[in-house]
Amino acid sequence: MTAAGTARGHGAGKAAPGTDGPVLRIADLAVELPGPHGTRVRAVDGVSFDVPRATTVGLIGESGSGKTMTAHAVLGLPPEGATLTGRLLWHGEDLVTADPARRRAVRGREIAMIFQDPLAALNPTQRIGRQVGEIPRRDRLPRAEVRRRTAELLDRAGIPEPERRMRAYPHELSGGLRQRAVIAMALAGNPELLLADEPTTALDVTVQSRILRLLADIQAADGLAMLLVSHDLRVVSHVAEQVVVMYAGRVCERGPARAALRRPAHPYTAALVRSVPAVRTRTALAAPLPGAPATPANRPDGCAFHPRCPLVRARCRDETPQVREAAPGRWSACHFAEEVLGE
Amino acid sequence: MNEGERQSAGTLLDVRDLRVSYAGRGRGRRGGRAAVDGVSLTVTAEETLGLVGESGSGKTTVARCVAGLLSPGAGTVTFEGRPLGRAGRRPPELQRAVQMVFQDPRSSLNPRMTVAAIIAEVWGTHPVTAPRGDRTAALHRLLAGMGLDPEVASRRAGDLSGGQCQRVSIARALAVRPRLLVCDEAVSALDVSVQAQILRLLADLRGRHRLAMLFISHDLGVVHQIADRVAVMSRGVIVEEGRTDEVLTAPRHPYTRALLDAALDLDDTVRDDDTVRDDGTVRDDDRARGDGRVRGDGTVRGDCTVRDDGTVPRDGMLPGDGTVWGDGTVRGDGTADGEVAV
Repeated sequence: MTAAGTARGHGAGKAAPGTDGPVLRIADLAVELPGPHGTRVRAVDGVSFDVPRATTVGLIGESGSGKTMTAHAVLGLPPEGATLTGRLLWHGEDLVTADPARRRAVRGREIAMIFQDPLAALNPTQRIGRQVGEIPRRDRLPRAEVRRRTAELLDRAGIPEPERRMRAYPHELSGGLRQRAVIAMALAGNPELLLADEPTTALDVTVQSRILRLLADIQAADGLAMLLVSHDLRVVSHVAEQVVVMYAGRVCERGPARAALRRPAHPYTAALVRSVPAVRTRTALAAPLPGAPATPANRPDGCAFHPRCPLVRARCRDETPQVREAAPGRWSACHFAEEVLGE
Repeated sequence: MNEGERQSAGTLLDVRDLRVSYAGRGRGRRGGRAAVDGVSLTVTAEETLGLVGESGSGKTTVARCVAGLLSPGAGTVTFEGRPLGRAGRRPPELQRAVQMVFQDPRSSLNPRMTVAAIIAEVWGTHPVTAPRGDRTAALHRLLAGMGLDPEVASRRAGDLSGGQCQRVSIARALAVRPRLLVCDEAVSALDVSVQAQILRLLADLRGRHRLAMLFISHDLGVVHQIADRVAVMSRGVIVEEGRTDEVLTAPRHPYTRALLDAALDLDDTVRDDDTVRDDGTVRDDDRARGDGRVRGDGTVRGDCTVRDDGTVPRDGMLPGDGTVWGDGTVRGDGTADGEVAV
């Protein structure tokens, strides 16, 4: 096992973020998809946030919130027929307008992705070693060197006996080992940014905590930036320094993770936090939000959250709120963010 | 039956020494694996028993035996002293008495049937529970009790949202006035805000219909909210059982402790005590040696394949055919907790 056993405080021991600008700046990103009857649906609608160097940003939302679509847009993998507008500034270079060759060069190398389902991300007919060694092989390294590098990557991902596991097929590994193999693949290109889409959702809790720790260790050791897409507030509150909460394709809140989840600046975040039952103490059943999450296809006018919002007022129905700084570092798309914060 | 007479008053469900093994495939060297290896539990009237464990622990297999979807290899399952066999062979009143709600409402409801037809079907199967007089009014009352609008009755299940589907599944189960509801990961596939709605609904219905529940979940937080007692399963056996607040705040078994250590809470601070090392292993003094269940490093011993640190013993390969199951896990010997292979 190599996973460095270093203790990890939140943000402690890392290079101060933001000294030389964020690695990724998402500005007014919109993804339009073809809807029924020739309409266009804005699945992602004016999303802006930064991913600073050596920082984990948690992107939270329920189904239909656009969180995965946002991550895919960053990778340059929007769905068929989608149009992308806005800017994706990668070290200041706009990936939306970059030519396809440049985007391909960034994807998988400078920006790597870890998917939710490792079985779907791995080719079932190829041995693990072949898949993890794809990038070293494409770099035309000598065969022995590819082999050495592959074993090293598997080892870094915490896979014991990497030489032996290289010869295994994905179905021969456990869920946790498979996700480690996917992480090893992601590390192969020496990325600066890791996009992790629900990386532990399919795993048991004991495996989940180890994978999260591995990601944190790798991130701390390499100074990686990470965008962690998850519906699980518990995971995000543990791993992320910054959090972005999305609802129906829009950002409703962003800020420091702990502060935002302890004292939300948006009623939707507050409702999400209330919905998470505590493990170690008995929490009373929360009064749940009415209705189902809105989707971009049937996004209500005004504030998309207003039909479910306990604080709804006339203004919320008519006027779409902009994301604004309601308190230092605390950004919210609620007309009454100060009130929410003040509670 | 002896067991039947021994049970105390108020016991609804009594599971004794339940054993289930799935046939192993291949050359039969190991012949199959015990998914449930001697489980005993009881659920008293109006009580909720939480059954927790990781994938492969056998909790779903227990649920399916109680619901009559699987025949146990050995052991007895009784309801108020009367044996519960396969669902199809149960007398109608026992069939009605035990109902099940599944994890994925989309696959447990026929997407092309209207909600009205789904409910009419169960009323047709159990005519004694069918309302006398105006069925439409009764249907609307039933749906209203689940927080569903009357207009949902004419919609097809495939057109409903996940939360609505799960409400319809619960309506279908409650339409025949059961006494015990078996919920197998009934809220796990739902969005957090919808999950809170369904939990609240289940808690309300439990009081209103005086239901007992066998609530199966991998989510300790959810179980802590809803269960009166909790049983922790690992490797086909119950390793710890007791009142929910006791088990989940002061676990006695190392496996329960390992589960709780791994579970995340929203407000957790990074662990800085020394019970668990950064690499996830447990310190010596926390070791459980000799009980055959949990290794000193927090991994679980057993004949079966995947340790909880994600490593695989022996040759690093899972024995068996490596079939992949619906939940995305691979069961080494080709068995699963009754889940459907993909």
